[in-house]
Amino acid sequence: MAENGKSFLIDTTKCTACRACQVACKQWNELAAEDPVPTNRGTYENPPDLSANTWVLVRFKETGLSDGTVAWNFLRNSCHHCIDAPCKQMADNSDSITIDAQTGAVLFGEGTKNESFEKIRKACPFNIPRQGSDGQLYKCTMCVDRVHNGDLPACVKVCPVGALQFGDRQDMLDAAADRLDAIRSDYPDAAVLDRKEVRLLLLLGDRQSMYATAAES
Amino acid sequence: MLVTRREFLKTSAFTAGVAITGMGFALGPVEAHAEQLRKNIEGATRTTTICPYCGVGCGFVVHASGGKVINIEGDADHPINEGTACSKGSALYQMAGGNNVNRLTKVRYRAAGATEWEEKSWEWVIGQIAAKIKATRDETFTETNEAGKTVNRTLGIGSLGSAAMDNEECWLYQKFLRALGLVYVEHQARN
Repeated sequence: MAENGKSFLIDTTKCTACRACQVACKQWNELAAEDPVPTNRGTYENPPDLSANTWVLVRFKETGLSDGTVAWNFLRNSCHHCIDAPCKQMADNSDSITIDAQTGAVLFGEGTKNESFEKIRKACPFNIPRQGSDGQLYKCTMCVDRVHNGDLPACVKVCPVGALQFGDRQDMLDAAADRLDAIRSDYPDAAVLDRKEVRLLLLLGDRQSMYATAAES
Repeated sequence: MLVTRREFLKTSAFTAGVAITGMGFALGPVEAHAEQLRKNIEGATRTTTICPYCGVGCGFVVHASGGKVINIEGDADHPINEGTACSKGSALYQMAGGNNVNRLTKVRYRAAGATEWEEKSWEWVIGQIAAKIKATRDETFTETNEAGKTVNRTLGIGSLGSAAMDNEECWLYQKFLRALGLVYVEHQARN
């Protein structure tokens, strides 16, 4: 794999939950709106879950703190592009889920129509895969079509606050470490999750329990 | 469904132990998949524009091919936004793109005094609007004001809009309204 492939770095301390990443993903991949259109659930988180047409979702979570205030944390949720992807390992056919040689992106092909959705979904530690009405399984593609052409993934390019970065894996690991050092005094609980296992490096400013994940839903 | 991280790590360790080929390289399907996904923006014409929505004035690139807009995304060379956008700006393609299935293709029309709505074509409606504009303008157009000064205006028509038009469309629209003699020209800019 060329230079250890690519990785995302998501810095939650910068995210304002504007959801431009969510919309840019839909725009580039020409994904339809949710049907039926979701209604107000008392949260800005919308739609309520990932789907075959929603590959990126900004999840919101409120946590009451001991000093009486509330922490409101945002987490951009999508495929983590595991280095040793359990979904691929659990697939019955070797070509339905593939790893892109250049980037390391985990890709669901048309062959996922022949896989057991429940098995693949359960294999995913982050509860990401979703099934379309055509039977195929869908999720983030790391915008390999853009990346192969020298562009950034749509979500990363659009991020107006610089919370999303994308690049060669080692550069992202280094950037994550530098950022952790820089924010340590303001965010004593800050950590980068699963940095050895996944290509979606999540830098959380607060304790992990203060962020909503798909695995909880 | 609940899979804890611990279980995930256990799964990884287990599969590594039984030596399943961790990384499976199957180039064929990957390339096919990338090809299937890819919007062909390489051969498309690139036109820059300014986002219509708020006053920040972010720059965008419009990719068009075969006379149709196929993609709109932030202009990385624009000094205001450097390629980024907000969630509204990110969705500009929806407004201009020919593939938007939610676009209204028919107009609902209720004649004066009628109780029922009728479905009409855009062609018919635009013709009706043009006829009404002509009639109102003919009726209310004044060449001179009370002081005898040349004004060439109509006070019988006003225009409000549109916050979904970009810079160039606004320019054309303004020219058109001024040519008709409108003086009440407003815009409901908002974000």
